[in-house]
Amino acid sequence: MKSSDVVIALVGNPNVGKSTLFNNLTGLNQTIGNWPGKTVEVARGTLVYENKKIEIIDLPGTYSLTSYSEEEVITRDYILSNEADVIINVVDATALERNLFLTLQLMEMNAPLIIALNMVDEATKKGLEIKVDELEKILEVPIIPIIATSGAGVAELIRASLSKPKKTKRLKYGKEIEDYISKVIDLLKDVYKEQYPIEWVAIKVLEGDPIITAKIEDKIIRKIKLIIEEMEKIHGEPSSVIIASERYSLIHRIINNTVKLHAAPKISLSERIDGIITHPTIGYLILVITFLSIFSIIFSLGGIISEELNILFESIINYLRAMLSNIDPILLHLLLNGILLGIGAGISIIIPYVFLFYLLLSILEDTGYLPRAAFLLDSFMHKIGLHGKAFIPILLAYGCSVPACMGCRIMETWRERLILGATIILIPCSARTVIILGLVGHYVGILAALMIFIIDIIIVVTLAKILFKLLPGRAVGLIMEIPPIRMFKLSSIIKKTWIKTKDFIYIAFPLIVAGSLIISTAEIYGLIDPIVSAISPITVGLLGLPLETGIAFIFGFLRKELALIMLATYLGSMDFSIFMNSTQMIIFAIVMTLYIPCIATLSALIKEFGWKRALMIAAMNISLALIVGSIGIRILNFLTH
Amino acid sequence: MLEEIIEIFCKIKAKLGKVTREDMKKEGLREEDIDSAIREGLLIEKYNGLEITSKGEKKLLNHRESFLHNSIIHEAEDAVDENLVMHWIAQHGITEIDEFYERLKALPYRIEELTLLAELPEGVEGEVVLIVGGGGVIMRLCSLGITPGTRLKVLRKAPIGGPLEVEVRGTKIAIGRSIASKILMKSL
Repeated sequence: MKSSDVVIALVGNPNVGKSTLFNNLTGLNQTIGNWPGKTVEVARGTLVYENKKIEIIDLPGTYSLTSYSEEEVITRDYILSNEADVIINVVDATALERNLFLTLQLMEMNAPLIIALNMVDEATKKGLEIKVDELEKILEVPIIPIIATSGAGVAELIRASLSKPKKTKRLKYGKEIEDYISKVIDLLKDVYKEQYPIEWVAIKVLEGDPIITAKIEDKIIRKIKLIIEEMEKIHGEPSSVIIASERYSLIHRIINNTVKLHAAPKISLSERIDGIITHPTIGYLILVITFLSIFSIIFSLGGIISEELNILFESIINYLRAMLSNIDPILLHLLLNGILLGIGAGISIIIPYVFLFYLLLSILEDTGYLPRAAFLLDSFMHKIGLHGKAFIPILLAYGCSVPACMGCRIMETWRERLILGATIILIPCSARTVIILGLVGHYVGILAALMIFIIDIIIVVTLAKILFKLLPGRAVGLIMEIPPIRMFKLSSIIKKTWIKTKDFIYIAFPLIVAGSLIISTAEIYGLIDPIVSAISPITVGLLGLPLETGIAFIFGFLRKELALIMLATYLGSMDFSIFMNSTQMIIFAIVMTLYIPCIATLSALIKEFGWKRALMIAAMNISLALIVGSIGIRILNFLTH
Repeated sequence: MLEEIIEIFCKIKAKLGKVTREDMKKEGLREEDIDSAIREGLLIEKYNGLEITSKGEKKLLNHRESFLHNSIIHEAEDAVDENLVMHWIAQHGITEIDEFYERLKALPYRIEELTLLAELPEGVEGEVVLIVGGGGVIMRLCSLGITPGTRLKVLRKAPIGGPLEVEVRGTKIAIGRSIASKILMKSL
């Protein structure tokens, strides 16, 4: 039973404007969720057009449909499930040759295909003339030229989808390859009873696809192996490479007949900018300036917004307290200090920083700066055993650990994801940065605060290096597309930022409020003092901190940004210098940064890596914080005496 | 010769997946040969079979390095770019050297026409001749349009051993230096 009239799935390479088209079709009417049981994000949305309810699924961006990555397997399984009535293949008109590689594979699967030929305006600017009619004739697939950013052609695309295109037929390859394919089909024909198109299965088995091969009887596979061996002997390449080359040579012939390059492209402005920002010296200078300004914007502007919102929330709470003075005081405490203060802190402290962070990040993303930064930083990332793309989750971690954990998915292997996930949570997120700046920066000095950031980086790098040595496997090299430099569209940036912030609110907010409730309940039942004294051997004995800091550590687990506020409430004073000296403040801030991922981060870690590994990571953090803290305080005390 | 004993070990390992003393003896080795390799810490007895130690692997690597050096470099007289092979050996493991060497022998090119992608200067165009590496890397390159026979142009190289940016099929791709040193090119 389908709840909608038509189901459309969007498929395409990364960076072809697939998400822009998706946002254009669905507006803000969308949800982003994990594919069931997988760590791949899939967005779903709905659209009503001429009284028809259309469900749209934005499948992950892929270049191919092998079984080497989760994204590719999910995409092809979805297409084979026949759940979608229409598969829209979003194709970048400026890079048709590479994009058609996926299109040919979709045709091999007999998908009900429509091609959305995106960025036709940019193609024209580049001097490319695409004969759409010719191309349509060769592929026998309807092609709709669109400009996703402006919405041109989108209505036509929807109309074409509503007429439910028929299943496509695959294009024939060269005679030699076709002979191999028919030989495999002959072997499969009698035994193969699954619903997948047999020609597609034959090609996949020839390619040596492990998932499809495993579905077929050993006896048959042994015979097919002989065919593959013959093929590989003649060509001297693995069968998968032979077939990929065959697809490309067919594409080359198609392109020769349908695409004309008019004027030899002049060096465009975007190329010139590209040359500057990836320049071996100026590029790095720009990189440093970019990130320094991002952080100063986030923390200065974010601080102002945060303060304003905080004042607003306090007055709301005070107003409500006066209004509700006649209800049960315990209930009132839970309501105001638990739920409302939780929401308030979430909105006033996290949102300004996280929202601003996402906003600036979206600009970097849409202009194409991020992959260029990854390009420049690749060799540095190799020092910790990772490659350039790892820099993106690291950058995210300075905003908030939760999206950073999810961002680890861009790494290709499980090992890389684990190394990155275990280390980036030690990077001070905006909440922890507020603690470092608000305590050490304010009372000890900005240089001391800066030192903490540097010490943190040293710890992260060392830990990543150790994990890289400990976990089995080899380093994975960088292979990454570099999209052209583009001017960003404000509307698209705002939409993106809103969707990401909303996503963050859904994940983190319930946990923040729950944390607040637990704190208020503990307060009511007088549980705080016993716990604080119970952990005093650690706080006072091992770390040499005042007894009261225990409260910050307990509640820091629930909500890191609350640690300072809780401490202030407990002490009844905002002046921390009364009861902590400079040394203690520095150690407190370092331990606070390292000691445990907050509850929202922990739940993200569990989602990405499972219970066992998440708890191991948390245990590792605690021991690391205790080691660094206990050694640190002794060194600092020795130096100052 | 100790090197030969490990070479025989590797040959059997590649064929049968696991190696016993009996297998080694079938290849014409004597008990005392095997014992001497164990004494030297090159092989180790494990689970009723034999395994190679890291010291053994190092020895094997050295052996093959000089073998490659002698065969490829000296057979092609003075012509071969010595860096090509040496650079490559420094970057990769033992199993890949074998593959690289086997395929290099079969290539229909004069070796002096070839260079590694990593060595290609900025602004120079070339044609992919051979990609060596695990299936994952090869497929990722293929899906981005880099297959044997593809023409590509090096746009820029990031400093300090950083990646290369290449132009291929109308798109730009960044390739890490280690992967770029597994791609053999014919410069045009």
